[in-house]
Amino acid sequence: MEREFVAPPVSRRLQIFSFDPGLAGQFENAGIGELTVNVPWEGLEPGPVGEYIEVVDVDPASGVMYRPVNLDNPMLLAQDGLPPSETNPQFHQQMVYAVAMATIGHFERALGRPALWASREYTEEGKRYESYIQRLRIYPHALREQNAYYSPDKKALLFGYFPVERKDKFNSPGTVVFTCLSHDIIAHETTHALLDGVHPRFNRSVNPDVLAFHEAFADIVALFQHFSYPGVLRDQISRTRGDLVGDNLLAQLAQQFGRASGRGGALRDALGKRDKETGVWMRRAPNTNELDTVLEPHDRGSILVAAVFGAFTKVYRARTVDLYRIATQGTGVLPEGEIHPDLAKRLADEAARAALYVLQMCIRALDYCPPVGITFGDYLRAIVTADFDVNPEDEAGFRLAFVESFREWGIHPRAMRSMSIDSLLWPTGDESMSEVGLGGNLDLSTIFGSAHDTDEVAYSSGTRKAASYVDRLLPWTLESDRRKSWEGMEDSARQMWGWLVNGEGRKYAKAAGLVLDEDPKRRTIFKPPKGKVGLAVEVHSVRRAVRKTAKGGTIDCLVVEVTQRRRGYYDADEQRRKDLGEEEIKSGDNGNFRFRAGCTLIIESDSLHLRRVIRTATPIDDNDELERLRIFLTRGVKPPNAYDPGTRIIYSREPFALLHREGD
Amino acid sequence: MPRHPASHDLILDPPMGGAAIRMYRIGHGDCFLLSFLGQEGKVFVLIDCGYKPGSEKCLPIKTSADDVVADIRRVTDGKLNVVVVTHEHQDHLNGFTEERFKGFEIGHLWFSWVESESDQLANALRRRHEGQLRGLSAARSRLAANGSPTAARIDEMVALEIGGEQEGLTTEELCAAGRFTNKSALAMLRSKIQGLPRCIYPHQEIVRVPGVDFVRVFALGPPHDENAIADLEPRGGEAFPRTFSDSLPDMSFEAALGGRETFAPFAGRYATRLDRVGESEELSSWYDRHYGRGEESNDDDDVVSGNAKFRRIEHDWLHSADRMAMAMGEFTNNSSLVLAFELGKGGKVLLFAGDAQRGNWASWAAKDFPDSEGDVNVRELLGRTVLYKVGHHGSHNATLQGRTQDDYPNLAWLGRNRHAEEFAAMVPAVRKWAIETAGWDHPLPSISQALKVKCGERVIQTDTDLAHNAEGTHAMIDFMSRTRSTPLYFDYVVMPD
Repeated sequence: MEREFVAPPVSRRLQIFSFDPGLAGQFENAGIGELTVNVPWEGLEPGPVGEYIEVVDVDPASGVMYRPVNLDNPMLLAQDGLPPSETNPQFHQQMVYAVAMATIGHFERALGRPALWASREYTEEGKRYESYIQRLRIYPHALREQNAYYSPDKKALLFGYFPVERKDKFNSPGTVVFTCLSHDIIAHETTHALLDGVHPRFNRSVNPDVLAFHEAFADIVALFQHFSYPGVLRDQISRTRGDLVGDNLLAQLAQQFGRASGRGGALRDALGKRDKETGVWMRRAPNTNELDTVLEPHDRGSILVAAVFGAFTKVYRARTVDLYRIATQGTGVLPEGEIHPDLAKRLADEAARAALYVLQMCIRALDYCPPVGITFGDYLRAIVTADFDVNPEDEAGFRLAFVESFREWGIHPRAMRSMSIDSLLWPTGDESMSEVGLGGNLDLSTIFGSAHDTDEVAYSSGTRKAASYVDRLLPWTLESDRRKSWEGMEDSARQMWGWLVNGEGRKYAKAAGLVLDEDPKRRTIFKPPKGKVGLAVEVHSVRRAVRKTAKGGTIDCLVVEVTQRRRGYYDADEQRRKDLGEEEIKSGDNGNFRFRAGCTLIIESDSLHLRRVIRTATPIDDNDELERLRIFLTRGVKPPNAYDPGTRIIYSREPFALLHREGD
Repeated sequence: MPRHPASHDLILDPPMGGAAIRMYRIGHGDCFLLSFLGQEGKVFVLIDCGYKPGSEKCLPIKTSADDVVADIRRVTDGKLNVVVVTHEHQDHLNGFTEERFKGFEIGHLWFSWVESESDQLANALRRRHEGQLRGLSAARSRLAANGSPTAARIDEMVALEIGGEQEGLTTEELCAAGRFTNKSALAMLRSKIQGLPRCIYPHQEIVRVPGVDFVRVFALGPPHDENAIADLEPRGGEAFPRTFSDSLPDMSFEAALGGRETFAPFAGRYATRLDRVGESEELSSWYDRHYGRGEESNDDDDVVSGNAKFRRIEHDWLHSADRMAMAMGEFTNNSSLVLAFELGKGGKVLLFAGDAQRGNWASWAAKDFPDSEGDVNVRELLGRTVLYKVGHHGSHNATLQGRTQDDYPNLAWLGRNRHAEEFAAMVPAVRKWAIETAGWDHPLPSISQALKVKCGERVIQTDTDLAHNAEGTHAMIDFMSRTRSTPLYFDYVVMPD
């Protein structure tokens, strides 16, 4: 009975292709084409089906399913899972599981809470409901197409496969390429799903940046996740001794990772490309004007990827310059021949460490974004503020590197007077109140402990069907049961709503950019159902985040997202008539499009301090912003082909299916 | 009793050295009658005759192809010197029926090289096109069985390729043998001429309109290059429409459509046919819990069950057909014959772009046209454009936007210098029909906007009556004085230089 004395393993080791089978099959990559990763231990059913993920390997085009792999089989446990193989579908199941779990791990670490998938939303008899999706489903062989996408409708990743039809150095016609065997594609698609879980409204394109952000963010995560594996970089750095001081090597490597298996995404030409005539790889130089002219989501996204990568290389260079000095006795000129393996290791370690930190910064920033309509400039502010809040001192200069790199790429927040760190920080609660002329101190003590009037009729957000709710907002305990934390989010949202609409919080609404009272000149703003007075306010989520600070302490925060909705009409005159009441808004008239505005509040639950207020560009009653959205939707959205309207991607149930096709 | 009294007494009256253009309001589609004053009287060139069935009902006053062809017969006395077919799409061809054109005399028939029976590339394109239609038809019937809205989108695209005048046919009905098609329209036209049609290659020679000395015709497209027509950018290995092989790769989308299930990408020992999952108890129980057959289990209202129906993917793979249909439509558009009619050497130019899209546009300036008195440069030629027949009903990529200094032809290249004041555009589109019935964004608002900026009010669109504005600039008054509008057509006169 020795079993009782054995602690469960911390992690499970699984083999994967480190790039994809195409690169693994090249002689020069012998030895680094495969990799063993550690994923957090959990008991698994065949599939694998675990706590977060279920791999279901049906292939409807072939009319078959492939038997689910049982990773808890002792034979497999003893040898780090199946060996990498293109021809064994069970290895494909193992690889999508392993890479997706690694990506989830990065999210949980950065956000300080268990990862949740977007809820299933549905309407029954006019009432909006939400239900819990425990596991992201992964279909490794769902399509016969050079495409892979996250389906927000099915909460599933669908991967395609296709026969190679061209013949070149790297491809033999007739062989099959599986998108589910590319590390970066798996990480990219999983990131879409995780981002959707945090920000379900980021699928809706309301400015040129939103979809581009989704694509770019997924590529950034895939790229830096790749860099954070020890070993992968070391080998590359030691064998390519040429241009080590410059930043070419890392960018080129980054791009190779992304190019593998054909679906390039934003990364394809994000960082540079080979000169057609000389064949020399050239880094893409920062250009402050590109953002003004490039609108296609992938191309635009590539600007954000390049900006983040630029920040990474700045830090990497600063942190390795001493190593070069040591290795070269201060000359900076490396001697002929192979570089010393110790130096290669140190350089790779620095790169991996910087990559991991950048990845954490980028993910952590998600909690600091406005709830709808993100722009690249907002994202910069989110990165800077989120990092400031956990690491006020920034000794390594990461924040400065981000600001400088973003500036070089022409990314700046709207209406900012300065690009200094302190002016980029989102305002605190007190600052936001003084900005709108509200004096006094905000008393948050009323949020917790007492019950708020969560008027069942006026509360128009989606709810669970089950009727029992916790009737007060409780101080938090670290809840590791994901189902309970999902339920807790809704309970908290109701309480927060009650506090904001019917309680003490009402006084603060203006500073949060919310409009609570009806305006006879803006009748298209949604109202609560059944004749309730005032305007509808939706508290989308109340998430908890526990973060480690640089000093070793923890910060416990509530992230609250509040939005309001307004009907938009393509016809500006119809808009005017309905706003002024000259034309009735009939029931069921939801307008041609939806304009949303609101804010994200970050509340420190220990100190009851309103740490940050992140408002959308304007409140819901702003007519200019509505007009800007109308122009964007009617003229600015690039159609995918000669027939479909550009807005098809926006309103499609499968926006990423269309988007990823177009980006190929 | 004529339905449009006003439209039945007007003749086309080209000025000496100029041209008169009648743009028929046939619906969402193209039909243009050009008239020049030749040595022995008027010469008529008809470019296309087709419409999307049903779109004519969305005009301010409904028209019909019968009315249109009757008017052509009256104006031309049944004698067309040249008939041009830009490309093989329903909305450019289905007006050409045996019955309507009975007794017409046609002098010459102009096609692009794509219609040539002796061109190898053209033959290969045709074979592939047939294969694609078969694949689409198979995908469409499976999607329709599942009630997918994609089926209707595919029907509309297939209708373009096959032709005919009936509304709302399904792909199966369209493919049924014996129906009137684009092919029979071409056959009818071929039967009316002596000898063979002229299959024109771009940039090879300056073409003449028989009977008119002063008009020279420059064919700018379609490029004789598969990739340029397909508009393929170098995007990884993705090459759709696919390379020329008559056999389909085993693991391809099309192979699965053909029902070749045996070609799964893995060895048989890993796979279980979906209809035989029940044979293994263990697998069957796993499958029922994590994917599901038939109804889903529902034990907890708040949690999505593992076998929830909405998460299954039986038909998702078929949606690739949607892209295939779009690609086929764009490919045929790009095979459009693009003609620039020049009124006298160095004179004004009328540009008829068919439905050319980006790949076609981009090739226009590939070469100069050889001429004994100095070659004709395309950029210079396009700068003299005073009338632009907008490509593909004003859709995305059928009017390239750009700047004068860009090295690819674009809207800014057209109507420059002294021709800018006269530059006008004709948009053969019925927006209400396109948006509401087909779901097509024609004309694209951003292109409408660009044309408006470029032409001011000098844009003529099928579904929009011209507002006769007596006031306005000199250029506008001049434009109005050369324009006539009836419910059946717009007339536009271009004066010689």
